[in-house]
Amino acid sequence: MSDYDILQRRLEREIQARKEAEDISEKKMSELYCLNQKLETALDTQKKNSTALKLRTHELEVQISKTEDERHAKSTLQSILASTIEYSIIALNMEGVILVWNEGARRNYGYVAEEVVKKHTIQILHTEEDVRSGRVGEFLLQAYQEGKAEGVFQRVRKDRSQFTDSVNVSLRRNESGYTIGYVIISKNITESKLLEEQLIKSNRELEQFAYITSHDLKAPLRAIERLSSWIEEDNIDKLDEKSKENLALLRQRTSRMANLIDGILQYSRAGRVDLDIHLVDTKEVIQEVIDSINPGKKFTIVYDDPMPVLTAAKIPMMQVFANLISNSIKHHHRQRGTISIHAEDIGNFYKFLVADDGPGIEPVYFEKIFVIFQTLKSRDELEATGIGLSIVKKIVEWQGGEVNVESTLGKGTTFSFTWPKSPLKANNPLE
Amino acid sequence: MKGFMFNQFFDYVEQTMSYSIIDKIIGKCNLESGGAYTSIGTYSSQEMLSLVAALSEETNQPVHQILLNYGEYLFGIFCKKYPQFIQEKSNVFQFLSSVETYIHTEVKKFYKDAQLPHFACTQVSPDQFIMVYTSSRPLTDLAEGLISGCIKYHQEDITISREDIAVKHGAKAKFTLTRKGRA
Repeated sequence: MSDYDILQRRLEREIQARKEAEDISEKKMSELYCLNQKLETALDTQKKNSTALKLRTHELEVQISKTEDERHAKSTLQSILASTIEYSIIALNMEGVILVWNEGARRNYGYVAEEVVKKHTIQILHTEEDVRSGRVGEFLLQAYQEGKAEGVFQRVRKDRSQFTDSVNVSLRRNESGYTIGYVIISKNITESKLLEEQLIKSNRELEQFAYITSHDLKAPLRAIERLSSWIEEDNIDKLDEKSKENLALLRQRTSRMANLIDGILQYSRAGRVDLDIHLVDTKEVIQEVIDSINPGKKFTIVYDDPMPVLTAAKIPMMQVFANLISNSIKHHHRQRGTISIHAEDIGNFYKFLVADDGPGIEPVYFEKIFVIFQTLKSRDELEATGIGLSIVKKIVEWQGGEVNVESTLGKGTTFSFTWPKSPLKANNPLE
Repeated sequence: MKGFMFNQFFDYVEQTMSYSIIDKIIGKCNLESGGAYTSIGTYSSQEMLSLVAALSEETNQPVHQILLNYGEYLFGIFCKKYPQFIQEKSNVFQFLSSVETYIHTEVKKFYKDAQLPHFACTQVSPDQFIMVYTSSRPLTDLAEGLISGCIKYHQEDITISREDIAVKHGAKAKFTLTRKGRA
């Protein structure tokens, strides 16, 4: 066997081995390729997962920061609740069960939070009568329907004592707008109610006093007037001209005093007449006023047509127009003059303007003219009580409106006042 | 059996004898592979046994001696080709402990189909180490040669005592390694 043969066989074996190796390698490479594909897919999935994870992490971070903010807001809220001691702040769920009870509530009602929170409904604070009559239920129903309700209740403390509470309830909603309960803020008004009652009482007494005083003062005045007339009649031949003149002055002063007393009476009763509220045509009111004042032909009074028709108390309104119109006539510097009356719609109110072409008022007197018994001229110069404009101001303000004056010297004065389109519910809280 | 084992065997024969002997024993054995091996291929271990038997006949060397010598030679090759598995280990016992737990685990990653022998190791005392060899092939001699090569490589004075255990299939043996001078 020659070396050549051996070498040839070796070569053949090497070639065969190489081919085998190539086959195996190719198979391996294709396996690796598949594996690589799988890895890429896995990597892709991994990337997606990673992105999702990052997003979730971010969401969580936002959530954490939100929770942190909420916690902060909650602690702020807690401190507000704890430091509010004048007002009771109570939160309820839709069933009326108490959820939040602040320091003010503890002081007002005597219960600590642990005694009432999640254990009692708001009824525990009300009198049995109010609960039985359904007043409490209606109150919450009103808040549910209108979003809020206000009322004054007798409320009951833990020790069963009672006090007067001014209660304000609002509907609570969550972020999505669903109703989740009520928040009740109330204040013990027992003391102010007591003061109010005292004030009403003393006002009545004052009115009574004013009435009696004026009545009692008028009787001697009438006597003085009559007596002076009798003196003059009895001594008509004995009295010289000077004495007659003095007696005439005496009567004039007596009459002025009677007017002043009447003025006090009017002022004290201004706006207090029975408020008979019905549909009023302002045009008719003004015409009635003109007829009663009877300015004659010297004064021309014009007004818009039509004038507003509104629900109002007619008599106070007539008093206002009568005082403004007669004021313009009385203070006019000429024998003839014109008064014009306009109306404007300014939303919830009408604005009425009474303008004259009289002498005008200097701006420095704009405030003084509305003060009772204040006249710009001496009473000898112009017989006036100084009560008319103060009555106007009192009536208009009681109606919830306001009075203003604008004037240019030598050109005239415009008084304006506003009047609500519908009367205030309690137009005189002291009545 | 991986083609690597055949190629290394041929290298060993060629280095210690000649290629013409390789050509002769391939010619004697009727091999399915035709005697052409690639390292990354897998072949029947029966071919190795046939080749060793043919070599024994050709050279008048006992089979167990051939496998023993080849084992020692093979360990040297392992050290050269895969130093990362050897250098970290400081001594024979530590290295042999790592064969099963570390080296074979890594080999499995390379060749999923590799059929590896099993070594159960017990450190009896600081100077005595027992290794129970189990294999699906009767290659206990080769294992002994590898252990011997390992001892030579580490230059430690350790004797090997071998106790064959009869099994129905393959082979099983208990090697007791004793460090001399201190035992």
